[in-house]
Amino acid sequence: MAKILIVDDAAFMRMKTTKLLAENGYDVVEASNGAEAIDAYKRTKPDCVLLDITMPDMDGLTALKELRQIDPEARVTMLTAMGQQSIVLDALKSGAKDFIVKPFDSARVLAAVQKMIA
Amino acid sequence: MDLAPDVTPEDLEVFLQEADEQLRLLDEDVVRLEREPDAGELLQEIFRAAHTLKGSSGMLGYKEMAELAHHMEHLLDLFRTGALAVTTPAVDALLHSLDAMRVLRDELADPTGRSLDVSAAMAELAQAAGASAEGEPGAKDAGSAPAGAGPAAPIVLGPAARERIADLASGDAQLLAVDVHISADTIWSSVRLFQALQALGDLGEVIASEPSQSAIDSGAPSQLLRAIVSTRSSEDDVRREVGGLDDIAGVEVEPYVPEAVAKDAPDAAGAGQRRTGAGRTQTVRIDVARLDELMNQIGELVIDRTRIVQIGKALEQRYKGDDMVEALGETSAHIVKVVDELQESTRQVRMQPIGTVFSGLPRMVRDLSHKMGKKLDFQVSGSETEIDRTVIERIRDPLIHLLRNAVDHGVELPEERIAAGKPETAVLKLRAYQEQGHIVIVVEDDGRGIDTERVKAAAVKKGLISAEAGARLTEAQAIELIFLPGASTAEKTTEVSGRGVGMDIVRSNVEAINGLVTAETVLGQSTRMTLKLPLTLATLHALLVRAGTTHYAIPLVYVWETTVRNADEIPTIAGREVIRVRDAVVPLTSLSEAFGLSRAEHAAGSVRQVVVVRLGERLLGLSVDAFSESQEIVVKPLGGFLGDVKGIGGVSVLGDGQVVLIVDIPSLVNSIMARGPAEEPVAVA
Repeated sequence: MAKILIVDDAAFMRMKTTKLLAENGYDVVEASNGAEAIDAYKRTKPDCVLLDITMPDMDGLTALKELRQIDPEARVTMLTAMGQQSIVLDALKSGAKDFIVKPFDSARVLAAVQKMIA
Repeated sequence: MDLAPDVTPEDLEVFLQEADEQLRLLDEDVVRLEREPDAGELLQEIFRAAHTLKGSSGMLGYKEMAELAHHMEHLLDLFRTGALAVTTPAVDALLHSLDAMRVLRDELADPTGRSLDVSAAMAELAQAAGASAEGEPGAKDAGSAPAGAGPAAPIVLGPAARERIADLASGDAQLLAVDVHISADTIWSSVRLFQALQALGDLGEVIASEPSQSAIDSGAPSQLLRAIVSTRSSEDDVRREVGGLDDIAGVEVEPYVPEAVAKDAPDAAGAGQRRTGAGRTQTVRIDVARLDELMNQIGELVIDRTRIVQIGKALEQRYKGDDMVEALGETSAHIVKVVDELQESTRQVRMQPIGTVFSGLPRMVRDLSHKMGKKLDFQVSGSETEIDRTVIERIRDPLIHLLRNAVDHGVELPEERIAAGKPETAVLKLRAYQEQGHIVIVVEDDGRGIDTERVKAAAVKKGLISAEAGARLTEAQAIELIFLPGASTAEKTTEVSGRGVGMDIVRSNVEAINGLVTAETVLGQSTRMTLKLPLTLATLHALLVRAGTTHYAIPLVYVWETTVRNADEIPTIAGREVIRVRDAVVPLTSLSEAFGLSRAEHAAGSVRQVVVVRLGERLLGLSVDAFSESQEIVVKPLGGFLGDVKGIGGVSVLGDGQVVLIVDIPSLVNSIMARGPAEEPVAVA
């Protein structure tokens, strides 16, 4: 069972995404900010990461860079919203595999995850 | 409202709770923003909260809220990038949107079928953003260039690219011309272009592209990417790899036949570092009733703890040197330590920063002062001061009242202030701090002060006191009059502070939790209201006394002095025993008699022990048979068997199992001195 780390400061988003992934047979680890994400990544070694951009205590872009330093193979898809185009570009340059724009539908999330762990 | 089909009640609950938190945070922060427009960290926090609201409501399918949040975020972004200055109309627009959001949130929590029209709020935001924004915020994401497909531009090859093509043409790698079409409804075509170009780079070498790498990096949108790629992968592989990306409408691949012109584009875009946000406390919500229960149980444990220690000591005396008794002593010492720590930790859990009450107040003060045309600098300090939850719940209304009074009656209009030689902008301070086991909250303004002569005159006119009594009042006693029911001096009723139903309610609310409220004023200069509150309602610092066979606890906050008098040296004035304490004549009452429990007998030459309590400016002597030390007791509500006894606020059980009654000083003083302070001034110099 593939393990997925979901990082979002918004509890609601996290819950929705976790539920979706769990229902589709994934093992889900949650973190609510970048710092926690780094910690959780080291601890649980997930197969891939869904990473929100706008967060307190280390934003998604910084967290992405740190994750890629810890594990150059880290597979990360950014969770983003309108208005963050330039950050998404930065993230892709920094090694993010893809991005999903909120509000996202279930199919998008599942497709992104499948693509990452393929 | 139409929500997403898969929303569960649990989803809703989490959403509502989070929305509530974010809205509260935003309310406070936006008001702060008006005063600190350059605080980058603050703006960041506001932006993040609006962003979370947008994301979550969008996810929920709550379109109205998501759109409103989106408009807010757009305006905030203009602040953040410096494109727009933070102005009062802009802050107003944000605050009005927050109000609308709150309504939307409540409509979700409690569907009434009605749906708030958010277009006015959105229009206001758009107008505030209007100065610099071009059109709808949603359309602005794509950057400056129009996002049209347009006729496909040919790839322009520079000399370097042409040389490279010539080089490669002689090798075994094939050259492909790739056209990638981006679907028209994608939001950021340039990001997809970037991904497509990246995918092509993974397959081989991108020799040239249109738009160029640097144009794509800068976010220029386009629906078409044309590239010349050198790769060992087959045409099908290229089609599959690139076509597998999201939002790709089609990929055309064909062998490249060298001819045409170019422009090469080295890429060196550094990734920008974004600031990390401020820390947040992580919380778990617990029902206060559970904490009360826990505290109650610990109270029992504390009683047993003391009992065990006492038994241990007795055993030690009986069986000196016995191993088992010594072991019991050690164990009970450890239990004492653990129980004390447990009590302290539980108390900590019940504590909350007083800032949770303060939140929302800056907004209220701002709106009020704007509405009344007053210029005001509202300074809040000590928000981190911790206080018991149950106290917090009880002081919000009194605080709101004090602040409203200050803005309405205390602070003058700018013209008035200038005429009085004061700075145009008034200062209203709200401070909280801890002092000797109490929390002190001070509301202080530098306004016109309270005219005690007018207060007296009004009280006489309303028949609250007699003219003679009024004339005898000291300044400090006169100001106490404002706490009498029906004593408002405001000549006109205002929408803000209402009419004379303020300060007496403030006082009774505060006294209901064993607190004190006092007023000080300097006419023409300032007014200061001070609330002294217990840290917690679960325990109490009290003086333990005995009257007859009953033990009582008198909350220390009301104890002014303890004194010992000879019974035969107590004079009587108008049939009432009095004692003189520190230049004041204080009426004396036996505590037992006050409760009608027993008739006190005072043999000639016996000694009377007196606890003098103070409530505002009123002093009352309570004679008791003995007082012991003050100590912290665990408050238990009165059980049903005692019912509602006037003058008794609760019970406590001491370590030795002794039950003590906690005296409710405010109600006792009020019932004994029913006629109020002014009718019969008790503290005569």
